[in-house]
Amino acid sequence: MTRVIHLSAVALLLAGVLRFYDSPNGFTALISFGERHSASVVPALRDLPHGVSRRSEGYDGQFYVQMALDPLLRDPATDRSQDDPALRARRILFSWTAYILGLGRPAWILQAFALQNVLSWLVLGVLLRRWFRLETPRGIALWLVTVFSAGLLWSIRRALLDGPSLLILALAVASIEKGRQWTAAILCGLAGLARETNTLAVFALLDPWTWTTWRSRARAAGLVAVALVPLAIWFDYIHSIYRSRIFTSGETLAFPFAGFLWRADVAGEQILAGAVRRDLPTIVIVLAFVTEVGWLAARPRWRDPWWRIGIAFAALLPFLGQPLWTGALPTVVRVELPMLVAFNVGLLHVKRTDLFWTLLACGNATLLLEPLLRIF
Amino acid sequence: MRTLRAASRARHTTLAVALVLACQGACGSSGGDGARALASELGAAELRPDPARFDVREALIDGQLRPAIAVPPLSRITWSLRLPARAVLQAWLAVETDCPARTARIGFRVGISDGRVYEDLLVKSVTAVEPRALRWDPVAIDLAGYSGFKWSLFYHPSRITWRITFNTAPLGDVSADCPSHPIWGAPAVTPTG
Repeated sequence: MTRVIHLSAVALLLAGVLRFYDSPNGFTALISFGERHSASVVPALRDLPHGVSRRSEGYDGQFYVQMALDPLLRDPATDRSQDDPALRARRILFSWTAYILGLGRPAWILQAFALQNVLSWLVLGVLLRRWFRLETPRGIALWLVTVFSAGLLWSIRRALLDGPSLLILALAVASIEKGRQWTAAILCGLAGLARETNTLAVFALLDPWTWTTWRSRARAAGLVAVALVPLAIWFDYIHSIYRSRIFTSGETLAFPFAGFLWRADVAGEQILAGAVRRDLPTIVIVLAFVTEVGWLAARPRWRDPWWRIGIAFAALLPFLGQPLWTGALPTVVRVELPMLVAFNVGLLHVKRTDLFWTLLACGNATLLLEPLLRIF
Repeated sequence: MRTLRAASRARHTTLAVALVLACQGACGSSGGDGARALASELGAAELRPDPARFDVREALIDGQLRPAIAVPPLSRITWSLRLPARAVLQAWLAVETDCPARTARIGFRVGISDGRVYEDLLVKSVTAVEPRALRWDPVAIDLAGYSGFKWSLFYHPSRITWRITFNTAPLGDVSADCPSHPIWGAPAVTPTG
């Protein structure tokens, strides 16, 4: 039964992904190249077959894949291909992995970049069974809502960073649970190179209950240092190229609740104008986030690394700015994927059946935004 | 004996030449760590639009005489240079106009680039109301971020040949028969501390 459920889910996802394959372009439709950026692509990409969406801005993956063609960002043409070169440069890890998987060949790098989300989804699916056992209805439900969460599927559909990032964080938590703290620290360090917000995973390494001696405190400091050093070195490198510009946030960070209030304001106007259905996404997102943050805050589990990651991402949520709250499926849903997993892992501790299913439904309500069949 | 005297004279000559060169290096206008008067290096700079319209002269404004570069209203000067440690870029800005009855506003802009990333260092507008500029507008730009030693594995600004760009552009209504004349007074890169 367990195997049937898992394989069915894999088959469903792969069937969806295969729909994006076409003979000359391979899986590049997953990267979402936009025609409006076609004139500024790097020369190495111009000569390669790749799918381009007409009259479209495309999506973020088109920028990261061009960094994969120049993984040390030495060519100024790479800057011209980006919407915000310094901001994109901070998130280099999956450009490197695509370069390695593609063995440095541009055509292969393109395909590797398009598919590395699928690959990480497959690994994550297996890894998540460490927490969500497929032997019980609860475990099956938790596993399914996590692997088919809107943020994760959107990451696959647009070849983004959030799916593979979540895999690294999950690997880090698994390492901590196995007592391999230093491996976890290295994984956290790698995760920071994928996306700055992933550095919050450093909280998974910090278990205050273990700080009983000077030695244990020094060890904790060492773990944090290992987790932060890769990003510090990379920041030093890109600072030598972009100087002060690397500290731009592109309005992704804002005053507390500014982004959320903006979205709520837009939703309120639409609801007052009688267009309730048009802003159903906001209602769904608010419901999900309030449930997740509320549950994580109400039931602290300080010794659980997933909870520590979840509460750190919950603290980040109010600071996410307006650009991350726009669209039918706003970026916050992807950025907060670690909080979703932490919440779902936390549901394992719920005893009451009715409470479990209510929390599961509310906390994972974003599934309604991009149901599987609509994304693929 | 004569050979010894000749050798001693040669040593003194070598020492004197070395001292002169060292002094030039330390005090001269184009030395690596000394102040660099950019007006005197205009010949080596890139000038846009027409180099013939750039004029280096002494400008007497508000009783203060400074070496200056008079430029067309829409202009760009780019110097390529290495910066001394804790460098500061100093200049005085002024604008003259041919039409006393009308004010003329010029936007002065200073930027720095390593050939890849350009950063604005100064954006300032200066208004002229008289044919003769009434005063110098002093500017001092800290270039410490682009010079000297840095605690970095990769960023070594002292090894970079920077491109420092001076731009001017008319602001507001521009009349062809009433041109204004921006002036960069005594621009210089000076080490501090």
